[in-house]
Amino acid sequence: MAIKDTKLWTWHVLAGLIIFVLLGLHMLTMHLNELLPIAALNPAGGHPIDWANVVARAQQISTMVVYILLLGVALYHGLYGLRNILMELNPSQGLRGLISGTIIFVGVVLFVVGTWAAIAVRSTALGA
Amino acid sequence: MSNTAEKTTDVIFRVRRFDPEKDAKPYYEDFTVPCPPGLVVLDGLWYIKEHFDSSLAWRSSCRMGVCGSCGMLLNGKPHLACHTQVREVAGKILMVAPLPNFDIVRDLVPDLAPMLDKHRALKTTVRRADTEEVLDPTDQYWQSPEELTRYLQFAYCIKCGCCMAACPTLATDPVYSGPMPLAQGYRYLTDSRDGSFQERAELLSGAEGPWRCHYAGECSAVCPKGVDPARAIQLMKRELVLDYLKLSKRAKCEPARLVRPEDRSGPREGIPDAPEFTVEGATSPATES
Amino acid sequence: MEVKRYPNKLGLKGWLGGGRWGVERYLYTLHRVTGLGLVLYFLLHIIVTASRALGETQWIDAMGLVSGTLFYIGEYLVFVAFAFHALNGLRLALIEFGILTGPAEEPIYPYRSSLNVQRPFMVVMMILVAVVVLAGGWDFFLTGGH
Repeated sequence: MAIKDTKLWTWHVLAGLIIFVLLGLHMLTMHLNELLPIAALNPAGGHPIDWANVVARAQQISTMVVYILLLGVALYHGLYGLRNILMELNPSQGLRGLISGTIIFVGVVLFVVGTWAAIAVRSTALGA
Repeated sequence: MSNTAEKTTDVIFRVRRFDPEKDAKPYYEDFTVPCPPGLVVLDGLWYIKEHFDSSLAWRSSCRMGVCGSCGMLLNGKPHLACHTQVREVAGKILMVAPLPNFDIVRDLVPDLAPMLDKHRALKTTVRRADTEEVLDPTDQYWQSPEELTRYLQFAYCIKCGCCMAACPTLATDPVYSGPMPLAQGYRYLTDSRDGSFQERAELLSGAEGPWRCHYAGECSAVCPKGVDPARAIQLMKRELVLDYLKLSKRAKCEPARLVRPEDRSGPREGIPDAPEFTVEGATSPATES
Repeated sequence: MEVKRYPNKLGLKGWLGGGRWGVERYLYTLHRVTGLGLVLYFLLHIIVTASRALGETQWIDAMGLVSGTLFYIGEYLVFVAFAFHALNGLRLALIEFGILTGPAEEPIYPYRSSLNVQRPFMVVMMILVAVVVLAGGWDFFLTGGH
């Protein structure tokens, strides 16, 4: 079933380009908010991680879409990179399967957790 | 006339020795070699062999940088010994070691067989469907100067192995093909006479392909012939990705056709005929049919 | 007759270079190091920030957990790692798609390789990294931060 490295690598680079934009946006929101304040990113003002801002962002559907997309591509990009590093250390045949399997499992689990959080916070926020 | 730049200075050659029949592991041995300006490392090794220790072993042949035999690690960087002046790389001490990422056969002799096996595994010949023509040629294949330029740079490779020694991926990963086989694989992939693009794309789609190159660039930095294997590998990735995304023009190309009579231009106007032969019975290809 | 060979791979040291390598070799090593740092931070980040779905109290607890000075400095290092990895990654994406490598050309001594072609872009990229790192540093340490 192994997918060819040609395809995996292409997606890795394309994912990287998407992350460049979306994570850049996230960093702008969280860590460059004093230098370049953008109201839409921190609608409640104050600190980006204040509950008020979390709620305000959660009420925007774009936040949910961006976070789920960013989660997916970043998990793929990061875990493929990690797998690359581990494979280049020349593990034995059995260990290779274990590494790939564990990485896929961790990726899927964290994607589910993160997607649930991005969706569930909307009902928390809209109910608040 | 004293010109300090012209003086012969003594340089300590710290040479990595290993005799598989006597030693458990390699060790360093020092030799003091008088080095006039312009002395190359290979000459220094010959001096050691002639004056100190005739058992010192290394590979060398042409002594002019074209055969690729004398690749060695000189003060931590892979170079050709015949091509590198001692003063270019060393002050008082010159560390001479065999190329890393290859097993050591003896002293400065690396085992290059795995590199050549990987090279062969990437089918580094022109492959096309008309095998009869290839085996028993009737004429040349047509190729434009632009098509030649696409691969000519990579055809200058002398298989010295310096790029393989410099590659960080090969330091840990034996499956990765390495800069030389991949650069040669690209040389044939992009040769317009080759007709096996899909077969090559398949061969290069796994761990033997270019995907484990992360552009550290050291292969191109150490290449003694300017082959730039790093460029070949990135251009190869481009071709393979474009093919995956169904945007490749190369994949759809027919391999080069035979030269046709109309491709051959005759002599330009105003050029006089060749003079008559002065030797009786002589002929030339031009006068034969 | 079995001929004895002595193994001579550089191993993990080969990833770290040896002091005489070009800049791009060190950028490769740094890209790996920052990538590892980012992915490990990210895996924990998903779990910590998922607490926002459980309500205000859980969120404040989670933020309290990661609010110490050491964490704050660590977070700045993650930001620095991001700045480098993202911009170097952009440079690598352009190179590995064959855009910044330049076309094949006949090698005439002194040889110019793809390293020379991409070097101006690499310099611009490093300047941008410095700018972003300084901007982040200002935001983190010289203002209210977050």
